[in-house]
Amino acid sequence: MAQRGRVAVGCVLLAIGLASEAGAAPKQAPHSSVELVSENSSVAADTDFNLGLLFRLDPHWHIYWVNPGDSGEPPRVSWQLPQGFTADALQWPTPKRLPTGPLMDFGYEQQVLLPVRVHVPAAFAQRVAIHAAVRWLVCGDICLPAKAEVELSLPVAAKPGDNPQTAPLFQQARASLPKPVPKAWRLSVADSKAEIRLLVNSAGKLHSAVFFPLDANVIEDSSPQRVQRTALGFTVALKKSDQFTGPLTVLRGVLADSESHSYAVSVAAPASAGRGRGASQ
Amino acid sequence: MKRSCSTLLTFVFTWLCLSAAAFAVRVGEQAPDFNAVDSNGQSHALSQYKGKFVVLEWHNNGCPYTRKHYVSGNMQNLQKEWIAKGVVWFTVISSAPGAQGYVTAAEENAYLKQMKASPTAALLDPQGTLGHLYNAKTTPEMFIIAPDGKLVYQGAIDDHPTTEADDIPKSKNYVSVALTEAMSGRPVDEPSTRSYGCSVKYAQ
Repeated sequence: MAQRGRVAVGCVLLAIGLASEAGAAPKQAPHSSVELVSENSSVAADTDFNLGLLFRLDPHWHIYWVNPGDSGEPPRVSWQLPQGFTADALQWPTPKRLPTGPLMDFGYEQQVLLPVRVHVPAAFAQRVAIHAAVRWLVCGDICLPAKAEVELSLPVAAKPGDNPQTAPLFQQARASLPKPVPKAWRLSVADSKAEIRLLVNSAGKLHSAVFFPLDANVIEDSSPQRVQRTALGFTVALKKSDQFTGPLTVLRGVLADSESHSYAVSVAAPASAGRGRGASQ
Repeated sequence: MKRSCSTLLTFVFTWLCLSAAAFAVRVGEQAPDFNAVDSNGQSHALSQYKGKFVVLEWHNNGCPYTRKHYVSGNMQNLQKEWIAKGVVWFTVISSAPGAQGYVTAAEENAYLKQMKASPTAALLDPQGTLGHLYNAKTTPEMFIIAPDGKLVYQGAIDDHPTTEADDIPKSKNYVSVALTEAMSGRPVDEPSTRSYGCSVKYAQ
């Protein structure tokens, strides 16, 4: 009895050990799973590195972008990191428009990696154990709340090691993260009673894009966006939300020309007479 | 010839109706009048409640955000508290037949009894007419109409857009705050917030 007991305990400990070495196994949830992955196979002192939350979704189910649109809720994470480590906010690859009846949401289908930058202190213990509590909403025709605890354990090295398993995931995610607008471009907004027009002078490099708003209740998410090609770029007409309480100070969002290429935009509205409210957020 | 004439008229009429709905509702303006039937077969028009505060609560009994407020008893308590103070409270169900949240009148009455919920009435809107008129997007979504007929609040029930009932005690309830302010003659400080919940399951 004692012998079997010891073997059992040994097996459990081995399993835990193996799990820690492998780090993350996907944690199952309704119609989705989440896995904590690392871009590097080891951590070096004072050297930032990237973690990621890898979501896999059943066909016809989706999760949400940071601004979910008309309905829904984006994933949230709460980290337990070793002393001195800090994690930045989740980063959001270019979303997709997800119509739901006459309404419009923004999010991801199939699979998405949300990268996170982690800051590493100068001194810490031999092994880096990272724990995260993740909550998200996964929807198909109906919505289900989901949550999971994920963990990952990484060894320490002089330089962050390569991780060929996750490299393509991070590469793809990075390519899909919104980039800053090129310096040569000029963006402006015109605010009229019923709509906001975004004018993009892309020096001829881009003639059409889809706009994803970062702020709620500015534009009507479900309205078709009227794109008009111009000599040097394009304009997008965006119908205002009926909950828009103006005046518009800044239009923030992402301009996407395809799922892989997008730009982060933050365009200050022309200052109205007598209201010098300065810098955009 | 005759058929294409009526098709054209239908198209124009539909377009006009949809256009009207597109200018649906704005805080500070007159809330659009409606006519809707409740789960006891009685019909209600907004205009018959002029002189009272009216709350519209969009509802889907399967949506986890709705359940957050019902399983906890939060919504029922709000209904009770404000109805006692003279507010008219309508639960509105705009789910299409076959979609989550759709209920027959009998099913809704059974649900109200089971959940011990006592709104003034549960308005059944399976065609989505009332939903589209107000441009309701989520369940829950809350609208407050003042005695003079103006919309004074539209948006979330509270400031914790989650499915967790544990968040309720620490949440600011926008509906209670707005009703308190409006009833004491003060302007509503936050008249428009982003609602949270599942999408309303409209008929296609």
